[in-house]
Amino acid sequence: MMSSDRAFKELFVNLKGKQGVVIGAGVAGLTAAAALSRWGVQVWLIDKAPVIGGHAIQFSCKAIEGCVQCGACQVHERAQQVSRQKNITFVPGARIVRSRGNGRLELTLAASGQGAGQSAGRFPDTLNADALLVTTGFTVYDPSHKPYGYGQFANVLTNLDAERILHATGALARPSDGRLPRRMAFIQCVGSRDHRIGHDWCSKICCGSALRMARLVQSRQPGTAVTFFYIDVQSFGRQFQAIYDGCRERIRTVRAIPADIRKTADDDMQVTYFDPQDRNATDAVFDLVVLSAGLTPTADNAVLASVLGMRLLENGFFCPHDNDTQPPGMFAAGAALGPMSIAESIDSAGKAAFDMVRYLDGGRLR
Amino acid sequence: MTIYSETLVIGSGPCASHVADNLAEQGIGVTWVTGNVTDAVNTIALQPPARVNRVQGSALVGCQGQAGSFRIILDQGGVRTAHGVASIIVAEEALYLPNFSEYGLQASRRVVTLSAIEAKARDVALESLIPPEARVVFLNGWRRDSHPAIAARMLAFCLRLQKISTARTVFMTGNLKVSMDHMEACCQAAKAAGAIFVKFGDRVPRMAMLDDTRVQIDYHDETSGMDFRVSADLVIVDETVHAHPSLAGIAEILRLERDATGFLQADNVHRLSNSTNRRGVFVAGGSRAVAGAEQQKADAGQVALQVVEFLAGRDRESLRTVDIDQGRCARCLTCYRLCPYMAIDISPRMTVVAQACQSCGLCAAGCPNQAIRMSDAGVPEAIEALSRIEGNPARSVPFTPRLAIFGCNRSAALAREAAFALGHKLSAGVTFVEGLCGGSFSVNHLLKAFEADADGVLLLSCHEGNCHSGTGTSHARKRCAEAAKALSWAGVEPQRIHYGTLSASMGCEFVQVVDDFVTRIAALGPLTR
Ligand SMILES: Cc1cc2nc3c(=O)[nH]c(=O)nc-3n(C[C@H](O)[C@H](O)[C@H](O)COP(=O)(O)OP(=O)(O)OC[C@H]3O[C@@H](n4cnc5c(N)ncnc54)[C@H](O)[C@@H]3O)c2cc1C
Ligand code: SF4
Ligand code: SF4
Ligand code: SF4
Ligand code: SF4
Repeated sequence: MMSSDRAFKELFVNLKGKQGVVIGAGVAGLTAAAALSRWGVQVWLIDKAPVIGGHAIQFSCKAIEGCVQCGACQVHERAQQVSRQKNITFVPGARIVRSRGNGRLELTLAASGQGAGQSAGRFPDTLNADALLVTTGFTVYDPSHKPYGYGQFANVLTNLDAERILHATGALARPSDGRLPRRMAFIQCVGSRDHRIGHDWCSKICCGSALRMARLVQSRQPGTAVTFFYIDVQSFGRQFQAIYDGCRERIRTVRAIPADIRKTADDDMQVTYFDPQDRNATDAVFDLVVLSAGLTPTADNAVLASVLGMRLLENGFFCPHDNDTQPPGMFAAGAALGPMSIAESIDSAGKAAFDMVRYLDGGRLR
Repeated sequence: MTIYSETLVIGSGPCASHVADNLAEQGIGVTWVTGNVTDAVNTIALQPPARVNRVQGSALVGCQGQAGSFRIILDQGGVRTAHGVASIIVAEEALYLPNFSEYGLQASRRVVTLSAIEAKARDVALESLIPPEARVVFLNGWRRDSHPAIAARMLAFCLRLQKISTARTVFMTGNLKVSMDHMEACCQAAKAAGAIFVKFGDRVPRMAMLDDTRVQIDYHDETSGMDFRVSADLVIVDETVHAHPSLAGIAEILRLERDATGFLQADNVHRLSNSTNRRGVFVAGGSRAVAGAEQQKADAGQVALQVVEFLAGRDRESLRTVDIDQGRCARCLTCYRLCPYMAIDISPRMTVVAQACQSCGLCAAGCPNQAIRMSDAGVPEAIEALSRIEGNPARSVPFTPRLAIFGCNRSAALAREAAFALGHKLSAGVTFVEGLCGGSFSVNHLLKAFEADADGVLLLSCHEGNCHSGTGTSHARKRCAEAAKALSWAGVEPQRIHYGTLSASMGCEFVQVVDDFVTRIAALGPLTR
């Protein structure tokens, strides 16, 4: 055989027995935990939620005739891989309340208060970490403050609500009466690209997610008319142009963001918008409206960052660990850094795992 | 003479350089082939990282063997050399082509590409590049949507001009791609600094070259509903990202799948992040459509970790071993043709190359002589278990069909778990048989289930385009059709076999498919043998 048979087994041997703590068991945390565990690192995967998988495990598959590369199934596969790894311990319902030390950290855990009972008292009080990764993801924007009646009108949903309904029931029915909608609207950029509330970012995933969802609903519930209110459509996937052209044949696209929504007598939604074609305020009635609520930084990021001594960006997301911007041994990945797709979260976690492995192997990086 | 190296890195730009550097840093031998294409965009003067053997002006012209022991041929100006490498990383840059013709324009002193103006601005001060008070128009994503990475560079340059020169900028755009970090903020800043944003609507602007100094653009502004005319002193035209032309040849030599746009990776979520259809062959950066300098650097990091995992065998620990029983093998080559990962060596004997095998089971299901054994696959045992179910429910009243569901462990098996997590239960009499891939079930397996007293057989594999083994799902479909034909020859209703596709996230759909099938078989009644 060839020279490549030399002792590759000796690569990164220093990692064996090291302890890694990953905070957040979404697709990013799962990906990084699996990568670290393959090198013999003892991984503690901590999540404040009672279940594994973060946001993406709640999404439905968008395949119609074939896969449309939404990525949602990847989190199920990765969750299973992780559950089979002996050196990964999943700690649900916990969060970190104290951190001490430099280099090797001593972390204090406490119950998160979410899903209490399922996991209470099932984890150690303290953990040691030779390196730590923050993959705490994001929080979906709460559109209650927007003039769209969210929270008041049963038939106004967020994209996350719609995902959960589709995932749990396989169909998207109107919450008010369980009837399948005939005329649906998607309103994009709710709480994103919104300078007035200081959200100077695009959430990246909601255009692709809404269009894929619209096509899924149309294929499962034939005859559903869809209107898509938007500012700019963002690319999703490598075949974007082809998929987007296909969507435009079946979905009415209106380049306008509606001003408000009113409820009609039969629980329909009357949407008022400025029609770019005839340049007038126009009303249209829909029986179900999905708001593409954006990805925002989680409120407790600030607490976690101060406990760990990590830095946040001005917009509230975690600062990337490159260029010594985070304390030694502390890393961040996934949507905790800012809005990103599942595929990008996997990439981001892969990159963080590379940085962590090098750090743990000899502290070469920082 | 064959030169051995542990890895071969292919690519002419910074991404390949980063990959080579990351691997060399771990003490891994690297041969870096910079390709024999010299196009203006990609000739970047790069210092080879220390310890890397750079073979300049050379190209890959041949490859044999499998992961762990590829035998490759390089051509350097007509001189061919043979190399042995364990792993190959394709990290060629993407190709950026200007969109002049899309706008009916030609390159001139006043009409330039984004890359050209960026390059100039690196060497000389902006003031000497842009006349005072010049009207600068950016044309971005008109007929075809632009790539976010291009839009990001366009916006960043616009902001820079607007802020530090006296130029007045107009940013004309189709869908403005702001889905890159900080782009929305950059767009806000450009607007605040005085840049004018115009969106192409359905009415496309008309452009005319006035003389060689100015371009006149007539356009309709959707927001105000009015027609406008600008004459531009400088027009900056966007670019489209294409797969590098050398990728076609590389794909052919290495037998790699490409996506519909020519990049070197099937558009399949199971290839995330850097895998290809061949183990030991990885793809990074522009070769898999990753654009943007930072993203490429990150990609070069994660691909290095995956290569090292592969070399150290860390990614193989949970895989089952596959062996060919030489006594049974008739050298029919079926397995060789079936293996989607090209893991079967045909000479001197039919053997499975462990480092290249993904344990998908396609070969074992297709072998006419049952010569291929997989450790711990368990499918025959599961089928047998079917006949041992206590108190045959087929005889019970009312009739509860006895069903075998064959499912892929990446999709149907996980969908089943998701269904349980959602609180669903399956009807009594349903037995689930988990396989390594939808394509790991043979016609024989399906028919055996009937011998073991099943009234119906359901095979569930992944959606088209989501099969880890690429072709596994289509083999599953074909085998179901074959088995159904065999049933009808035997005088049994072919509807007793059904094929469907699912993904791991389809818990409730799993229950629906199974329930529908139960209803269908219940209507047919018990299978009389
Ligand atoms: C409606 C909607 C649809 C989407 N559709 C798509 C799509 O089709 N395709 C796509 O690619 N992307 C889609 N996305 C984006 C996708 O959700 C993200 O890319 C992905 O979830 C990011 O993964 P993550 O692991 O970084 O974060 P998350 O999935 O948010 O996971 C973070 C985890 O960290 C835990 N956590 C948070 N804070 C703490 C703390 N302080 N302590 C302990 N644990 C904590 C959380 O409980 C959670 O489990 C969609 C998003 C939304 C909202
Ligand atoms: S990537 Fe999305 S569309 Fe494709 S199979 Fe997975 S969940 Fe379904
Ligand atoms: S992805 Fe689309 S909907 Fe989401 S913030 Fe960006 S532009 Fe708006
Ligand atoms: S399919 Fe079976 S018999 Fe044919 S070559 Fe392969 S192992 Fe031998
Ligand atoms: S199990 Fe799959 S990958 Fe392995 S040799 Fe057989 S067909 Fe190829």
